[in-house]
Amino acid sequence: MEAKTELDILLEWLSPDRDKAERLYLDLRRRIAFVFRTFDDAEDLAAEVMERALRNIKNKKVDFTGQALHYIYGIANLVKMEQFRKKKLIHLDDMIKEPSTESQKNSFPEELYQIIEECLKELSTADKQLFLEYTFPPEGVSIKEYREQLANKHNKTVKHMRVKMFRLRDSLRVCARKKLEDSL
Amino acid sequence: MESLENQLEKHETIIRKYLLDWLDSETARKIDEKIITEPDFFDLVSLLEAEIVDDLIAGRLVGDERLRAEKIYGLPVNQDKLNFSRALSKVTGRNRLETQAEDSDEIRPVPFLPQAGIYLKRFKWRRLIPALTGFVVVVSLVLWYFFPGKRTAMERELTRINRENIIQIEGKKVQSLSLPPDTVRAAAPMPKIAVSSDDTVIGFRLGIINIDAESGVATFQDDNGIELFAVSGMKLQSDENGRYVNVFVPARFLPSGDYQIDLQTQQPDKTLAQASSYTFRVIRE
Repeated sequence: MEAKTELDILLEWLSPDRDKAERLYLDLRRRIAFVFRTFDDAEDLAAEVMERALRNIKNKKVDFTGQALHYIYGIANLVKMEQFRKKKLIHLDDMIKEPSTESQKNSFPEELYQIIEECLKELSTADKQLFLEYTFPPEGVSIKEYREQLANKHNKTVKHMRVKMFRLRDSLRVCARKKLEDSL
Repeated sequence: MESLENQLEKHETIIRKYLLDWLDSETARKIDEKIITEPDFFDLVSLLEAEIVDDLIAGRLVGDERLRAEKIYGLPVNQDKLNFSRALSKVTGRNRLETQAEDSDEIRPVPFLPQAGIYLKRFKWRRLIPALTGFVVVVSLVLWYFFPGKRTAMERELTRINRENIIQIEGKKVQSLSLPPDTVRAAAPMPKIAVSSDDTVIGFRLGIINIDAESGVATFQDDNGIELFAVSGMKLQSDENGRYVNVFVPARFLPSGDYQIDLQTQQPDKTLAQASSYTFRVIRE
């Protein structure tokens, strides 16, 4: 029997169900990158957090009695504090450096338009119609009032509409990301 | 597990500040912790972030919010979010226009009018409804003003007469009738006034006892108790004979017969209180 790797141990800590654990792990990576979103190298920092967690598991420095997520957060917070000390944070109130012009060059994938069109077609007719209506109010109408009217028309509250639209938007985002990855 | 809708209500304001980097470090740290340890909470953060990014692309953010959002989502790490929102906006905008064009094609053309039919086919008839409603309201108001009902016309004239100084009622003969309050005239015969012509104005002096008010409303009824008209806004006055109110009524409003006047006075809290009642008879000479 193969020895368990540190990643195996971490995944088991997240969930005894391996498939669920892998989904949780990927989602966790995304959330860690999010809390570093005002840093230049957010993805690298998220990777650093996971590497430290795995290193600590390897060196038997982890107490597995608590929840994995809280342990991971502890490491993420530590890394963030270190970054603040190194002043790698781009402050909004006093910019240390401007965003690199290279990033402003055309990094827009043109195929994204076509991909989103395809993903939009995968929505049900009703969902697609609702999403289009919600996203584009008529000219000269306050968007707030328009969305309240739209919610009333569909017998929903504005909050429910916002959540529904978010879910539809997120399904388009996931669809688009998958198709973009497949096309590479 | 709390629903996203409930979480939205509770946490929207603070998360929006978090997303725009507007929180103190300790509060921001607590939100970082919730994001990592509570996947459902991250759903809420993602929802609000999506709305901010879409509002930024659509030009709906203003002032400091816009500046902060531009700086945060201009960072390379957030480029994908901006790209997605931009592309989504363009694609959905295109689809929306197509959907609106399809809607107009569903309106059927009017037969036998080829050119007009094309125009009418595309014309959105439902846009006429507010305009038609407004037209009907305006016409009704105009008709009401220029062709008022009988009572409205009478009260309009009474208001004019009773608000002007009596001296200004030129060319009109004024016949006076003094009516004491209920409690005084109890056993007296009904006061009468003989009216010589419809051009006359009858000036009623309505006596009042112990009323502490500034103005009154006098409602005239026929002997069947049917209200004929009301005169409002009359000032209460005083002389050596006591408190009273003057009410002027064109004689043509009161054909021969018996009448009753109910006088109400306006209280300090703007309500009306019954002050007194009076009866009288009009005789035509």
